Amino acid sequence: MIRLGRLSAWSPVRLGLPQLTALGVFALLVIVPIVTQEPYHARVVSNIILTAIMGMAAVLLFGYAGQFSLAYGVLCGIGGYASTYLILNAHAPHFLALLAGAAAAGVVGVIVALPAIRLRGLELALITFAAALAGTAVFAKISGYDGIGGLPKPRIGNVLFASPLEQMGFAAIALILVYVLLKPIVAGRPGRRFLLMKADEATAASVGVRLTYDKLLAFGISSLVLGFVGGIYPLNINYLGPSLFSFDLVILLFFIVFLGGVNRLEGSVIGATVVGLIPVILSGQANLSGIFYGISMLAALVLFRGGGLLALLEWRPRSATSAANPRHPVDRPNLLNEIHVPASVLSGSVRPNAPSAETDTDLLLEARGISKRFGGLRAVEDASFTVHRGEIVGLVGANGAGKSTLLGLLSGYLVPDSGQVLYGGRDLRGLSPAKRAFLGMVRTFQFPVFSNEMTVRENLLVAGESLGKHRTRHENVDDILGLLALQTMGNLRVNQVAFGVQKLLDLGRALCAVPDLLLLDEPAAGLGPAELPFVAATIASLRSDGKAVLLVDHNMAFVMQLADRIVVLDLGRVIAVGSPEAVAKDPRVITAYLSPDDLN
Amino acid sequence: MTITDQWQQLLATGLVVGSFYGLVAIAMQIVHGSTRILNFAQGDFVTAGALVMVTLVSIPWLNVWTALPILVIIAFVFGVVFDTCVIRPTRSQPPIISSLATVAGGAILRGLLLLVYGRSTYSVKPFLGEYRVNIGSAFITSQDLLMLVGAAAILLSLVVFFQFTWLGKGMRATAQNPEGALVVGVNPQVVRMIAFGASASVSAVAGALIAPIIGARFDLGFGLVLPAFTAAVLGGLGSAAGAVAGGLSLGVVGAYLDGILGSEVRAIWLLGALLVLLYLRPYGLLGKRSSE
Repeated sequence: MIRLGRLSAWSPVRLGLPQLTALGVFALLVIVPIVTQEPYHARVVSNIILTAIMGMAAVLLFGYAGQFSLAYGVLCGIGGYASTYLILNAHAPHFLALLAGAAAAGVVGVIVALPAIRLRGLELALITFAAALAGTAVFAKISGYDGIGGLPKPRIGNVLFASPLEQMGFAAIALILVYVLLKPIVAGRPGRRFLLMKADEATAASVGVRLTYDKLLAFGISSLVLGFVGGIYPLNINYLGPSLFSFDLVILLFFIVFLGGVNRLEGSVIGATVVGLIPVILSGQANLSGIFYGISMLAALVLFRGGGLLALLEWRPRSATSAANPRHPVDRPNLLNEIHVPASVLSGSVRPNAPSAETDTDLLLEARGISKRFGGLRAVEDASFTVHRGEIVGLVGANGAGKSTLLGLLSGYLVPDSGQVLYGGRDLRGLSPAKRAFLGMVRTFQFPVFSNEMTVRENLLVAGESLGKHRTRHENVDDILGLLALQTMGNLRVNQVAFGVQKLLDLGRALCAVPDLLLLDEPAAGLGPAELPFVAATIASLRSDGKAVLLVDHNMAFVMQLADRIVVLDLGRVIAVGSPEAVAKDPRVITAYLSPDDLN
Repeated sequence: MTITDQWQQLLATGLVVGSFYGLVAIAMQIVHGSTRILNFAQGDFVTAGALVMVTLVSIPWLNVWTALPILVIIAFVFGVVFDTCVIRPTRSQPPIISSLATVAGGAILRGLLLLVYGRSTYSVKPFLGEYRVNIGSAFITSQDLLMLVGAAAILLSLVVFFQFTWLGKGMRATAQNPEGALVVGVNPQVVRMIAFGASASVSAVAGALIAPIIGARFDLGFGLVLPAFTAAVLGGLGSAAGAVAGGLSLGVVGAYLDGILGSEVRAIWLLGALLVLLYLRPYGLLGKRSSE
């Protein structure tokens, strides 16, 4: 890995072995036809480059955003048909026609994506599969099944790409253009948001990732790219027909993506090279190509599991990672004495909607009579309570008391049947979890989910990064990692660390989102005796920064020790609110669920 | 003749085609119901059934009625092999990856069929001979009738299997809660294997029944995947009776729409139908809103 000081770790372009390999393959591809001067070679390479660009669009949508679409071919086709007919009928300049084709595909791509907001996984696959076949039918209506030839040679301004070699150059320029456009996106903020969204949508929303926006963004960008390449393709081969954009192309693209690595833009060059050379090697045996593609794709799915050929180059000797000793977190001597959250770490920019101290003294969250039923089950009924700034409120109750449901209702994952959630005096009705996170209300989950395709630091960076421009910086992430004594883990993958450390990282991620109110779901669950007091101290320190915490946990001693006030739920109803001491003596609470032993 | 004159014939044709869609939809659902995998190779399973039937009936000492059980057994074994070679290696990955693997598996199967049978269309004699039944101004052939009866019989046997046998109940349980099923002793690996076997068997019978009507060709099945998926969605993913009802209604509506619009644009209105369906009734025409 070539590193240019500390900054390079954050710069979008990292030149590692995989990147250099892809660059080498790309250079080799372009040089061979130049040396041989063989038009056939130039055509083969030209097709490889164009499918590599399509592969990049698929990497963005499938590999990063995790959206399973089968409509790649039809979107290429929309670009191809729109731009070709603009050129043939309206004599549009080629570059404008290509852009128009890209725009047309972008618009259709976003329309195709609209169901993706409501549907997921297999249903989306179904819709896009239907769109793929419908597209072929529409294209056949427009140009006939046999397609049309006699297209002009591509021309940008005064430059005419007349020979196959020049057209290959045209394709290569397009690839570089698309790569330069896409790389900062996937290596930057949108890419990190996409990866977290792919790992878990609920988690992504909890730290402010707007799922609808980001899905549409991913579909939009990938469709633009597909439409653009779809326009170049017919010009380069002097033919436009439905067979260019059939379902076979979709299968090829998945093959390219899995061979190159699902989240590697550069990988698609490798994948496309392999895919493009198969028919050349099997020339004359066209019937075999289906079998060959199928077996290779299966092998890529099973062997690389999304990592792709380039992942083989990233193998590092064991000692390189064991230096960080991921399974045995660093010693944390006397942490309890040292713990203090620096105000600078946690203070974000002033929120426009944040309640000011003058209007309402300290009230931050107010639940007013919220109820939720699941069928006949009353999960939460008429629950009312408040949380103030600088206060830690414990929410306790037996299993099934409605604690998790209540957290879901407060944080926007569930919609109450009746009642209001007021945050800083503002009614949160209709606001998504991401929007609530933006207002400063951040929740965690009992089982934290991270993206294993990013480092620990990148995972933390997503939180808050998606909330606003200056809320979280890389230094802040490092500060928070330091606060949790996890600074050595920044460059590890989350699946390399123990569950207890993941719980700490989850707390750290929530802090990165610069919350005013933290809703913590079982922060102590699964923690060992070493981590428990540490988490307790961290949570306690939030109080002095004026943050508010709503704490749900099964560990009664933990909650009783931390909380200023306790809200007791029983069968969905709030049966007691008060100081830990008062609640512990409340006869209703004792009969409902507490045993005196729990309080010691 | 106009559409209005032909309505009886279109209805009859639609019902026959629809029962075929229904069968393929059932086959798709056997797998999806217990594994959440969408089998994109389903159409190729049907093709394989039709083409293997061509081979079987060409063997002198076999007739149609001895060939069918053999076909069912071969198909079941094939389904198990498909599961072992294509699905099993991806079992630790999400269903979407296994679904992608079926795309690859389908390409391999199509390629193999192409190698063995080439690109020619094989005609198959109707199982009951060349009889026609006249109903009003419409007629249906003996093979059409057999398709309707066959679909009904397979549906009935599957309903019995899933409602009343231990294995069938286990498969439904696995669909709802794989871990829970595992705890009570249902092995999801075995369930998946049987699901693919049974699905391949149903597909093969569907292919064998349709072969005399439209002829058998290596790419017969690919165009079926979309109507079958749509029929399954129409019936609410998860109910065999729904799949047949979805298939029948799609067949009849499709016959009329093909008559008006031509069959080339079928994919376009199927897309529209799917969009509307998944938005308005994601649990199908007959299905109930699931508790998920």
